[in-house]
Amino acid sequence: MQKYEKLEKIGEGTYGTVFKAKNRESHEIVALKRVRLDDDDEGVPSSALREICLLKELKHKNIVRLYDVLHSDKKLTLVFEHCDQDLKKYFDSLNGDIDLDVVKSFMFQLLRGLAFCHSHNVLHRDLKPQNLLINKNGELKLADFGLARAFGIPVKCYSAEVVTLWYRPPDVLFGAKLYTTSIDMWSAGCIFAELANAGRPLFPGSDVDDQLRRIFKLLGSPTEETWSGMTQLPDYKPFPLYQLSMSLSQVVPKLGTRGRDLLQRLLVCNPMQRLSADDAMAHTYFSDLNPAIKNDRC
Amino acid sequence: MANVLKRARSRRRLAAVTFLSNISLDGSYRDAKVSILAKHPTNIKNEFILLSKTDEAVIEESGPEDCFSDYESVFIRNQSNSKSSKKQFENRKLSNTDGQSLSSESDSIITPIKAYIEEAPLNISRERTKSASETGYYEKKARPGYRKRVINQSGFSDSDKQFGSSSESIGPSSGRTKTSPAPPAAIQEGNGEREIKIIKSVQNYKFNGERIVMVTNKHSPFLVCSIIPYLKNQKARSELRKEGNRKRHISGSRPLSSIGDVLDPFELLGIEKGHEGQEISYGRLLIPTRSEKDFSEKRQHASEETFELPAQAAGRPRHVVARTKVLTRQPGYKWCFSYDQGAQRGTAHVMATSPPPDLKEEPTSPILVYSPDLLDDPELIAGKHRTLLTFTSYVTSVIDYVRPSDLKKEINDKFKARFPHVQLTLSKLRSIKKEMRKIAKAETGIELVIVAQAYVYFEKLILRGLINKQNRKLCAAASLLLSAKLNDIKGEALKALIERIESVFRLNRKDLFASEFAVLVALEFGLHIPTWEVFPHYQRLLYES
Repeated sequence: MQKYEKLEKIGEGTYGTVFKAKNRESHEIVALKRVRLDDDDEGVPSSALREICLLKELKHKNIVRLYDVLHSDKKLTLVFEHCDQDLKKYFDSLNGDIDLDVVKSFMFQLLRGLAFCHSHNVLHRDLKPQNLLINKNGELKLADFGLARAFGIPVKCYSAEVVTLWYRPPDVLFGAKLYTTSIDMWSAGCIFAELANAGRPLFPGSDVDDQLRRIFKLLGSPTEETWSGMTQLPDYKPFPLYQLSMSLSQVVPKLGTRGRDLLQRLLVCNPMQRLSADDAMAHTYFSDLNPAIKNDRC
Repeated sequence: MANVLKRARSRRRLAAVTFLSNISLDGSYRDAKVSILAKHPTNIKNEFILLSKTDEAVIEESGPEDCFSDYESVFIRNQSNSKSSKKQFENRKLSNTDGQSLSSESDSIITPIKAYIEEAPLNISRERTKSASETGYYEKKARPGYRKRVINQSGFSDSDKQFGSSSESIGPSSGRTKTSPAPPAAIQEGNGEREIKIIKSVQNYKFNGERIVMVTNKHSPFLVCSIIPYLKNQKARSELRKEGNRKRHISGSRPLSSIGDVLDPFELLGIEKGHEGQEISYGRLLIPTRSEKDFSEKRQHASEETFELPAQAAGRPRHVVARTKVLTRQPGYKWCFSYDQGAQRGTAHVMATSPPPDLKEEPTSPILVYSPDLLDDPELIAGKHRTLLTFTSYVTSVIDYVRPSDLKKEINDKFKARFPHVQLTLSKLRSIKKEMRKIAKAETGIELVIVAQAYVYFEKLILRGLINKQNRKLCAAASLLLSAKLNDIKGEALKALIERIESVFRLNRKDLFASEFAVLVALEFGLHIPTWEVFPHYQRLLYES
């Protein structure tokens, strides 16, 4: 007798299949991630390891909850809190129109979840709309910690192959192997703009060069003066000096001045100058946020 | 004239020989009438170093003053010596030979006698060889009575000491000579090849198991010392005897096939395991272990700090892990106190603050507080052999020489006293940690921080009392693997690491992967650890490399 009854297949993850399932006793709906262990290559996949070990420590309203770990000889099953949809699907259902209060609420919840991760020495490293889950109550949760890692002792063994291209910051695009919480803040900025545009990605690059070009075209090319150490990065290559061609008001027309200011502070090429999650939450953009959301802590 | 000179020289030579023979290995000279040497003026201006390969000293009672005066007197005295034995006769003969050899040489450098024999008139060498073989004959005959007498000579027992086994000296020696033939054989050799070398330059001379007498250019000896060779196998032999019939298992040489056939990593770690295909839920382990404070606080110098118990054990008394080194004037110790005392105080702190009955009631309860220096205490290297002296303006420590094996035993005993539930010696823990590091060192991209983190996992398992002889390598290997996976080691680098782990720890992959999950569960999925737990290990690794 199995504890969970599989209802439908939700998707195929990086290391296994995700099912929607129901707890036979409590009738609670959960998401099951099935990880096969019969692969004699590497043992437990590191993405599963990361999810288990990091999510164990990250119990927060804005972070998807890991309920259980089931283990047998051949497979490992992670039991997650189930959410109705992810942000990507939510965008698809919008038809290009989004309520600005929802943008503010989602952005705040994203930052709050992120701040919690960062305070627990965890970098998410794969923030994108597909990994942000939305439930019926309008709650946003960070999910998929398969690429996440701990940070602390600064060593150059961090992987540079992180974050989906469109949400990858310029320092990592230049091959930086030592990065910190700023890596997630860039992604948050990209998602913020995408939210404000009801799902139109900000930098949909086709490859690393195209990605960098798109970024520099919008923000102006960084120089050694604005970003010291840039030219020393492993994969650095010079780009044409783009001047600020258009203001952010053209890029995110619906966002007000405060919102644009927050976006501008998140999308800074120099990682040292990027706003932190805590500071972003304190930005004036959120001063008129619905107190119910603001004070709704874990 | 030449004859007189010759005589004078041979007399000096003889005196030196007698002097040398009079010094037993324990350094005491029994007949100190050497001043006579200086009375004789000499042409020899250089300083000599006399080397005598004497393992036994001739015992002399109240040497008459004139014993050095003449060549013959030695004969007489030796003959009249109550303890004169075959060996002393040998000795005398040898002196004789030496005297002749000296007289036949030119004044300055006397080469070792072996070299002399080659040039010497045949009859002398024949005499020597004859006497040596005679001795050999007698010794080999080994009539118990005779042997016993020889052995009981104090000189002999001194030489016995030289063989590094004080435990098997005089008393049981007669029995021993029958059972283990090695030391007597060596002594026989010593008898046969007894020689005195006079060397002027020590530059190209290699001292080896000899007694050295340094004399001034007026031939007064001013320094006598012996070089006792350090022989590893002899030490090991006595060690082995001391420890009784303890068998040593060299864990590295276990055949590959014997590992894992019977061992279940889950069982070894005390984890319930599902039967055929049955799923086991570990949801209960998904409770966060730490508060935000734990991660955010920058506590790097763990040993200097005190740690509070995590929230779930807040009701309990606080553990104070830090060692308190209080330099106080204590009546018994005056101004000095041995480090040992300080360490014990530290231990007492650790143990005393968690009430002993508590420990008894829940023997399985793991030590909830982890501190990087708790288990592998970096201070636990010197033991009681270190004395700390605190003066007003400076602090100094005196570290006595101690046999490595004794030190190891003491440290392990101390460790055992601190952690009675740990089924691993500190030296074994350290050697496993060294191996873990060795694995990482050979692989590119495996940074020391990965090793440091693996140390934390492994030590936590040990503190929980889960590591034993059967699973220690598997668990150390699994700790390293888990740490690597959480630190972005993937693809080819990970495969190479796994192969390296297999070969160094002599494990097979299947067992490694089975242990991996078992270790993960044993650590309650708590692989995400704060920096302050890892950093001290990392610093130590950096310092050592």
